[in-house]
Amino acid sequence: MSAAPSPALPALSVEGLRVAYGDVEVVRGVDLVVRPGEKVGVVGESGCGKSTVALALMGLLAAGGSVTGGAVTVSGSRVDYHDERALDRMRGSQLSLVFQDPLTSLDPVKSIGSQIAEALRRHSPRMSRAAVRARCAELLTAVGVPEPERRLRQYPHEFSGGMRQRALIAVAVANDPAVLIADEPTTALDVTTQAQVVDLLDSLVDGLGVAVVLVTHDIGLVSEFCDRVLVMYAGRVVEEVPSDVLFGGAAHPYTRALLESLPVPGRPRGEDLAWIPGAPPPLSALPPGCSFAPRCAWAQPECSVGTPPRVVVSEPSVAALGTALHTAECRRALEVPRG
Amino acid sequence: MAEVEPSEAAAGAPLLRVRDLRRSYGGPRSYAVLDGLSLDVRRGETVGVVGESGCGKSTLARALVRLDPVDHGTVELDGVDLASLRGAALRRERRRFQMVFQDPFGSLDPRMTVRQLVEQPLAVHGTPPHLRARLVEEMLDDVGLGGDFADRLPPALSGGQRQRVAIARALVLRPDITVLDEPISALDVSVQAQVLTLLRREQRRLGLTYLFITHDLAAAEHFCDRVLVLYLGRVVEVATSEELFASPLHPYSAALLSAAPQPRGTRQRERVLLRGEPLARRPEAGCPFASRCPVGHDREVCRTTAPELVPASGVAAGGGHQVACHFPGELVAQPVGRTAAPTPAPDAPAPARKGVR
Repeated sequence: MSAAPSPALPALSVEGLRVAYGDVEVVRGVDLVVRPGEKVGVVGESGCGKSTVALALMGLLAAGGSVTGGAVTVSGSRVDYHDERALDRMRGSQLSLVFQDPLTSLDPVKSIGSQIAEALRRHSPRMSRAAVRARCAELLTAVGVPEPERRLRQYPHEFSGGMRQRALIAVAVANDPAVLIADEPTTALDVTTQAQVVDLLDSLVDGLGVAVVLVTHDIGLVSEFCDRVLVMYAGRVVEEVPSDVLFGGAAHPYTRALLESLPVPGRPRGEDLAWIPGAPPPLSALPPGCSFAPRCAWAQPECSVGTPPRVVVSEPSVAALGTALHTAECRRALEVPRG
Repeated sequence: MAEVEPSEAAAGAPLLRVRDLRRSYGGPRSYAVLDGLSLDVRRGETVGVVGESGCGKSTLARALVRLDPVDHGTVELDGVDLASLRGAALRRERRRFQMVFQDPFGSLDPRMTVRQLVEQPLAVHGTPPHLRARLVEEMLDDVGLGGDFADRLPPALSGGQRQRVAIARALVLRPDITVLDEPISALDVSVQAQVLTLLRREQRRLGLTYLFITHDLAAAEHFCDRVLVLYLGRVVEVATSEELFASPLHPYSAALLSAAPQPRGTRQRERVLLRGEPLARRPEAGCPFASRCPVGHDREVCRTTAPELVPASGVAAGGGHQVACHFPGELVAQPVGRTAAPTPAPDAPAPARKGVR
């Protein structure tokens, strides 16, 4: 495991983040700590709030959405989501976001070079033209785009899907952010291209020391790429687990059920996959108690009363200090057989 | 192009027999998205078609169910050439081949109830009204949408429920063959499992035959008896699921299988990273995969001569394993661990990247 040692200052620290659209709370108290150079995954099914967390952290919530609670600290300084100018300074230089669809995130009428340059100038307005041009070429090289001088003059439609995503990542890391948030960065890509992009993210973590928060529905992807995984359900993190123990060691019944529904290699062919009965509850009408209780095979009557406790499943040993704590928000986390 | 495994003597004639299927798009400078594709599907079998965007898998699906015309080649269902059918004759045959689409939101009329949606294909194909109700209720119960679900409209259903309606619509006709075009890729993971399980249960109950088109290799391995790997409009490898996933012979198959993300601890092979960028079109000459191939990119024969799809020799022979490659089996993804670098000390310089392109 390549977890960074635990320095005093996390790159990103989120405490009790709450986001609401109108009267409906869609993120209900999310905690997240990311250390420099760490790779953290946020997984969950559609509607669990994972993308909303990403947008809220960037201060990019759609109209009607607002952060209603919690504290976000980036590299030691508290983010004020009401201060638009401060947010402008933060975006790109401290927190960067890469979206799923590289075609709609790039401006079709501007060359790739001018889009990277724009990102650079935004945070370093006094940089000389020559320096900007040199840095743009350097960035394209760093993200694995060959012939950078020629490619900088090209437009997004002249790039393939994988190359566009690389260009977008170049824009995102242009100002050396502490944390790169990648929201489904490979979902629109083919699997062989996805492998290349994941490899690129890995090399950026190793080379630049940037921390990555990977938001995705793909459990296989997070468990392979990330050091630590947060599983979200109905607006809350229900389990936080080191990737090494995710398969075989998951403690929350929801995580377990998700894993059992995956056709993973080695599972006998022809064996029926398990699935979770029912559907996630609408966030506007959550059941009392644990949100997962109505669908949970392990639920007991008391699960539908009060907030489920956050249970420490295993503490990291002293030797592995700085690696992740394994916690699950479930009354029965220690009774459920691990799977 | 070589014929697909002639094991017809052993297993009887195939239910679906496709030979040299060609489909081109674009006027004078047209390009054959499917370039002489042949495949057999036997009754009761599930055959997977895997490949990445642009390989022609959806074009194949649409051509097979005659949503698009076929430029060249034959598509025989139980001896009847579907490619040559027109008008009333084609409409009559349609109930024998059905299709389930990827998007469960776009494929259902939002103003019809679930019951009406499932009854519609029976009405279209002339099932007498007094027989329909029982068939519809039975089908709805099977897909878990009986009772009050039957009176709902699609907007009141989740993605998984809609896909079950789409499946019920296809299967209520008891088709000879059902083409499933990415039926689970728009669904959440936990729902995917439910839909796959449902499809398999109905297959056992009704003796159905599936052609399963997907980019999801794990799902193909789990769900299919045999798998075809498509690359830029050609079949590059065909084998049973077990054999393909255990020992892929074509370098593209090997790279594709190794690229799929796998849970930590379960990865058995290092990822094979391909060279360069995917092509949008086959090159004029040579193997379509040559420019990206770790094995053939610098070999003369791969650049000049397109390999034929032929039975694999050696250990893999005999099981109908076929591959179109001049150097099959040469690329073997390294078992994990052999090349793994030791964990670097926290203050060590960044390690060299694995799989330098």
